[in-house]
Amino acid sequence: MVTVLFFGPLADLMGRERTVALASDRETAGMILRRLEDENELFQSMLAKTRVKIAVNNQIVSAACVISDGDDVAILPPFSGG
Amino acid sequence: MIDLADRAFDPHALVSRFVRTAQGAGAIATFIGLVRKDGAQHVEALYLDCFPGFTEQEIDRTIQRTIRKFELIDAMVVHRVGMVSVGEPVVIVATAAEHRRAAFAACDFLMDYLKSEAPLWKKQIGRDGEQWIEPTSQDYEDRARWR
Repeated sequence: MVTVLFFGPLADLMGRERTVALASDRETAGMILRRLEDENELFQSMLAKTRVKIAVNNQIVSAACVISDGDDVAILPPFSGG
Repeated sequence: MIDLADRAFDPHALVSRFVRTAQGAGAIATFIGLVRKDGAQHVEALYLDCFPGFTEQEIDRTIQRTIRKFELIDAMVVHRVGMVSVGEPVVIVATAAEHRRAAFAACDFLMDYLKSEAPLWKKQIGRDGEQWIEPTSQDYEDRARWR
């Protein structure tokens, strides 16, 4: 199982975290994201309007990063502090 | 030093402590950001979301890079998370250097980073509802000045 974490506007829509089962041992972060988009049209339309970063186990990675069982996958919308 | 504060902080106490511990400094620059009312939007508060652990890790990494880049003696960032009311401090940045230009520049550099590249998310809460805020084009231009 993989824990997917959401922040900012994405957390308002999806909640803070979801647990998902890996579809295969070659599933990437981008593929997991696409599965979540297919399940939720609002999530899909939010991602169409914004550019997210992905962090796996607290490290920023590309969408091509292969995910392992037990990983934390964080979906990070544009940052805005200060 | 980075701290994410979930309660109001006293900027004067933080600056006093920073001044005491910045041994050898000849200049200390500080910036305190407050939640402003923003007339047209009737802002009443901000809500700041963070990714516990990751947010501190990333801001600390940039603090260390800033210390090397500007040859600082020390630097401090304290940022509020959670609900912050209008008029309250939301962020304080302090930088200590041998000379003033490095301290000023590093403080500016860190604030530009916090506005658009630190893992924080800001929601504006006002009379007319709530809205997540993304960095403005000016914020991105400000950050690009350092590249």
